[in-house]
Amino acid sequence: MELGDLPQEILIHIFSRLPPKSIGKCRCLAKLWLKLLSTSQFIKSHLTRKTRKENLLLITPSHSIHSISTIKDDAISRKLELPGNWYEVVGSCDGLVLLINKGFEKFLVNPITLQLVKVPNSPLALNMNESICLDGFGYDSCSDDYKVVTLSHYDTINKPRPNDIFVDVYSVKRGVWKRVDNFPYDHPPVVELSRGAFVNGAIHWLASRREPGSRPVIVAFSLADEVFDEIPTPSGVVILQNSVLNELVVCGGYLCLIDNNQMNVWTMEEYGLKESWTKLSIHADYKNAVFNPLCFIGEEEVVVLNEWENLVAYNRTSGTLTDMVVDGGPAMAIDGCTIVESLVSPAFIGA
Amino acid sequence: MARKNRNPVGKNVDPEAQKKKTRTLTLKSSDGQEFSISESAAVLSIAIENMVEDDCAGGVIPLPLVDGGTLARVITYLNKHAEDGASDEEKRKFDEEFVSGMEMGVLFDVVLAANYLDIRGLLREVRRRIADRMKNKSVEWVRKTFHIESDFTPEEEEQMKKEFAWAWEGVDSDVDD
Repeated sequence: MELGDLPQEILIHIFSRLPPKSIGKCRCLAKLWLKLLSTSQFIKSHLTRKTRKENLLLITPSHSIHSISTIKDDAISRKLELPGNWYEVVGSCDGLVLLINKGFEKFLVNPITLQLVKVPNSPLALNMNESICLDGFGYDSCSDDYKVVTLSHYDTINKPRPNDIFVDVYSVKRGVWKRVDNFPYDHPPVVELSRGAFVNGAIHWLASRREPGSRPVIVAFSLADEVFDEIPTPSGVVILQNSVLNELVVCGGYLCLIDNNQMNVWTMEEYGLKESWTKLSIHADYKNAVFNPLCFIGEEEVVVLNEWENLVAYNRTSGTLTDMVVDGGPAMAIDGCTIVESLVSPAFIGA
Repeated sequence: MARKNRNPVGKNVDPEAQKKKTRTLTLKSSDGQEFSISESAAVLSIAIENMVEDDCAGGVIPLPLVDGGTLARVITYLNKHAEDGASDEEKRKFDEEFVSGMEMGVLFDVVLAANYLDIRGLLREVRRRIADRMKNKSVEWVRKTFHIESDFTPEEEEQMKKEFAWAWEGVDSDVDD
């Protein structure tokens, strides 16, 4: 009895437990293993194991990408061989991350396998110099496809122009952009910070209803149905119109609403349930500072990227903020996100 | 369910469960060895449970895909898991020890038997054990341990090393945990 004699189903279960790098090596064992461990069935099974490890990806001030595999104070990072001048993380899903470089080009990257695929610009995109666009990235389980969603509108500050907000959706599987119905809201209050937050099959943005005087709401764009819906906001939180102080992010797998005005992070613990919003107050000196929570360390700590590009850890019990040490010094980053370790290909060689 | 035993000390014992404990079945391995086992332990295998329910179990249950040595091991596992009063912690510890001493070939036999007999807990445990032994190992180590011969040409091998270079970055090799 040899390993290769076991039924395929058992082999898939066994190999699904291994970290991606072990799989990479096992693909080099022999042809049988290269084939079995490269099938989309195996990659999916490997992805859906519950205990997939999360890494923290950071874009450094020098615009390279670093990865931290054990997220803790005094962590060690590794510079990834991903040539480019990186500026922004749009979002991550299933081990893929959508990154934007200096030239505003979008790349879909698997930071484990270092595969990198350019997402072409939409032929329908507005001229970049006179428009503003907000991106989001996520997975549609209905069509088994990864999608990039871009909301774009003309810059109306300097010149009166139509205020339509166009919604363009890119299918990674098919490699095509299409335009769906216009965004039925006014554009989100903040521009640079309003990338979409992907949770529960939908990409979320803050936006205002079109009626005058109405408060901003959380809108969810379902990747399966490609329509917008609203998600309840926490009771008692006033999202300010045109404020730079509110933001939606994903942290610990939850949709989080940042209220920089009050220094609160609201976490929606049960998706769609208004009562499940839970508040974490950050008692720290810098009020009205913009910060971006990246991940939790255990129950106690939340790792935050602040507007001075420092990575800090807030301990909710002691109420203290401490600079995080990475590679022996205080960590600096311009953007970041957590990402699971997976073998999913950004080129999406489908089933 | 109304008939379920809610009293751990056992005044209102479920008569059906009681019967299963006292009733014994005989399992016959591929090499003709026969083993007695209480029905309550045997039915932890979904496959055996189905055979008992369909009343195919007229005395002896033949298991033509499991040899005697492997069946003896499986029965040890089933008996422990059917034991009255064994805590989850105790069972977990037992599982750990049960698989830790097994040679790789034995693990393969047991995983096949657990798969065939549909014993979910055992299947999970053995799969985990096999995976743990392979984690972060070098290609050479895995080839040697699992008797896998490469069928790549030297050129293909070079090509593979290049294509999967990422797999060699920043990992310790051959460290057993």
